Amino acid sequence: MQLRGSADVRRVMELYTPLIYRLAYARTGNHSDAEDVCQEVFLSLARKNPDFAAEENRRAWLIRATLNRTASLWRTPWKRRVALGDDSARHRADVHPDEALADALAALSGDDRALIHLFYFEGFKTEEIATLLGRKPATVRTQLLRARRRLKAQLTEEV
Amino acid sequence: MKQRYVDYMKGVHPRRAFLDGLEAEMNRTLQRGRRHIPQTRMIAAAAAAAAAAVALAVIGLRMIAVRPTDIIGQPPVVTAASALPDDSPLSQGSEPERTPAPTDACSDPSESGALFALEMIEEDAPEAPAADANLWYGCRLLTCETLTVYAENSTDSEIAAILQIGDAVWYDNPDGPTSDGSLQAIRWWNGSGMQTGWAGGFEPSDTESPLRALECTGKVRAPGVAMRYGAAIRSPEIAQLDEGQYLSLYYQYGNWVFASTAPYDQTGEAPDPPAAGWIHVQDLWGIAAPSSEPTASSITTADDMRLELAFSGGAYWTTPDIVENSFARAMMFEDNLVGAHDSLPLEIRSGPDPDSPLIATLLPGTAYWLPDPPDDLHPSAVDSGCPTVRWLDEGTNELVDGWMCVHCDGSSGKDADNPVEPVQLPGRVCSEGACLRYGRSEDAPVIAELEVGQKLRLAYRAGNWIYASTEYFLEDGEAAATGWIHISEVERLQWRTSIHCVELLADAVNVRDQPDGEIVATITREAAAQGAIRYGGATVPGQKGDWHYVILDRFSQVPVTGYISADLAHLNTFALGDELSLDGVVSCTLRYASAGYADGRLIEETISGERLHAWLARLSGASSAALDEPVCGEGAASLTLVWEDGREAELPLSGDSCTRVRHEDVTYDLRTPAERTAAFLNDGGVNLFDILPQYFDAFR
Repeated sequence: MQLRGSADVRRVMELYTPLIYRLAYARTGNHSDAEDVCQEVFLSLARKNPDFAAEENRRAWLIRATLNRTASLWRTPWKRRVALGDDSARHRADVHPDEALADALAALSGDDRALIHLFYFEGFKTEEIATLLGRKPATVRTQLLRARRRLKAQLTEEV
Repeated sequence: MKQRYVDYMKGVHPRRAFLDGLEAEMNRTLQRGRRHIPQTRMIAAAAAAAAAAVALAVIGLRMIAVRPTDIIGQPPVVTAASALPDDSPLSQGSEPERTPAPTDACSDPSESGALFALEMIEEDAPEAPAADANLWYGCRLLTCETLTVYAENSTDSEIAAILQIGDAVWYDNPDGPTSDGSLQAIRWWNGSGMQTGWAGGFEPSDTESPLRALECTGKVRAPGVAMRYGAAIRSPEIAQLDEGQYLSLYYQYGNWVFASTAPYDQTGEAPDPPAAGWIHVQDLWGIAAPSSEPTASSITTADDMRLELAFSGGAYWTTPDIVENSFARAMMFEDNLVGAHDSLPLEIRSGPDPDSPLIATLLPGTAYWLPDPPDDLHPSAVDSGCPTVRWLDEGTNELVDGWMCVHCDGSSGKDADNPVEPVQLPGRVCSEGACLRYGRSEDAPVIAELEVGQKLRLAYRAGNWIYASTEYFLEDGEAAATGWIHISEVERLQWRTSIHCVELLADAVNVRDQPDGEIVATITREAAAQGAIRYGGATVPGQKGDWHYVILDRFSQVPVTGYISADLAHLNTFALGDELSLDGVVSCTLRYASAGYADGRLIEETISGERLHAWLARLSGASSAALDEPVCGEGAASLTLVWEDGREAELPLSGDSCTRVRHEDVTYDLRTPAERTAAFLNDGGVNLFDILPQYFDAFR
């Protein structure tokens, strides 16, 4: 299942752009980085053009690549402790009416946000998330539980 | 909460312009096949980046004025100084000029990414006000969510486009775009060509913009990094920068930074003429200090295992997930690794060949970067290459590049028989011409030349080489040097002539903050006899006599330092035998400097040979130790120590000094040939490695 032309490109982008972009946004917290990550992932797909056995493999590859890219992003020496917080806040205010949730999410770590996103929005089971992240299912369950608790605590504080 | 989150995330979506640009780029990439593109180059911060092109995303500031008249027939001249705030160093003095990318760079926009703006402005310029007919100013939309562009100069006309945040527009008003809602002629890039239309009411200079002032210094990370007119990868190049070149950074917009090659303080050398433009953050090292040179001061590890790279004007933090794992795990990360290995020293060579000269050894905890990491994410892939590694040389404050062997385990194959072992001893240079070197070789570059007698901290030993540092023995203002020194050039520092125990001649003695100064503590003779006070290594004159600098280790939660009158104290220098010089350290550090029974009880436990061996081998370098037959209740009569070079020494152990009770701990006392009492706790509570650092302080 390689990409063979512009029709394939369009189909793959339509299929996976929302997933990849939102996952990148959830992890990075701002649109600039999310666009960078999304772009890198898709261009990497076009460059390597792997031959996937099934569509599921392509999706897993894209998600794994997205998580790797976001991790790489935060390892750049440029990312200081006062990175792009202001930027992300501005975007949130522009896009989302639920500012309380946005603020609560912003207080979580990128890992927590990614876990919550994969579980809540993408509907992955913990076993699937564990496979994607290369962790044990029990570890993911624990981390997810803690992330949700933290999110809940943040929302309670907001109230 | 789940439904709330889902609703929230539904509002997150990429911009259409971004997707259009990305799709086009994917198609081009697919056609080119698996052609390598540097990973660190993001193609664009957004499709808006494509639109940004020449725009010079400068908000509210007329960053660059492009003069179409200059474009025709001759290279255009772009003034950079107008792009900077009035108080910027760049705006002072002569106005720098720069030459844009060669014209042939614009010949194939789809391939080179260099485009349009310079040409398109000229060809498609709409009718502009006569007064400034030749001037167009670029900006990037930042505050308005969308900007409606009309085909005609009327809001009743057809809508030509709806621009979004991040899109670039050009306008013709030198005072900036109109903000009163009236329409003005604008131009924008839609991904395939420059468009014209009318719009109004946008305020690119709003303070809510994400354009952040930086005012710091940066350093180019790789050769051939492009400085561009706009904050977009497709924007034409202004200049190619050299690796390691310093830049003054002024603004950050998303992942782009507006920088100048002119030094921040206007004192250092700069390319002539200096250039200013946009650079992707991935191509830069950020240096927080507003200085033309980086002045890194330290690399420390925080409690949560993050690494802090501290500079004179700020600090950078690496992310924590890197540090928690070893070198092999660190190698998995594919990009821009800032890592720290926590296993064995990492040897760095001058080239990819394992036989290349050794130029450095990175000790556990040292932060390093992989500027060109393996392309594949899978850890097994790293076995096929020798990546370059970059680290901060604390001696020179320079970032240094080298090569590390992927199988590096601290021994690098040929030194497998000489594993690196911790030493943690004080040392002294004993040979003329001794020096600290980057690696374990006489050919390795010299870090620092040492003088005979100079003190060192010996940290690791590998075969005949010692990894040593001068850090504990520096005069004020001296910089620490760390490196390898041959074992023949250094000897273990003998403590016996330096360590003193303080015996008080009065029942209680005041400790003062300065000679003849204020009282900060009072120490009793009994406490002093139990080792609560130790000599700090200095005796200074006062108004009425000499004063000893002393350290009270157990006075409170933290050690207290001060001065006691030499008239009220006597320094008992440890006059141990040479073989037991390091035992002297321990016995002085130990809390019990006297022999005898504490409460008359006899301890029916005897020290074992194994335990003594474990202790004494570490303390004195003895290779073996053996007790004669111990006598229950009295202890052994003598202890024989054997050193590596074959020397032997027999310590007589007197029965009446072998026990002491304090609380629940049992203390064994050893009487040395010099009639000094050494003691240690049977619970292993005193450890040479724990107490030695205190003694280094005495030699500073």
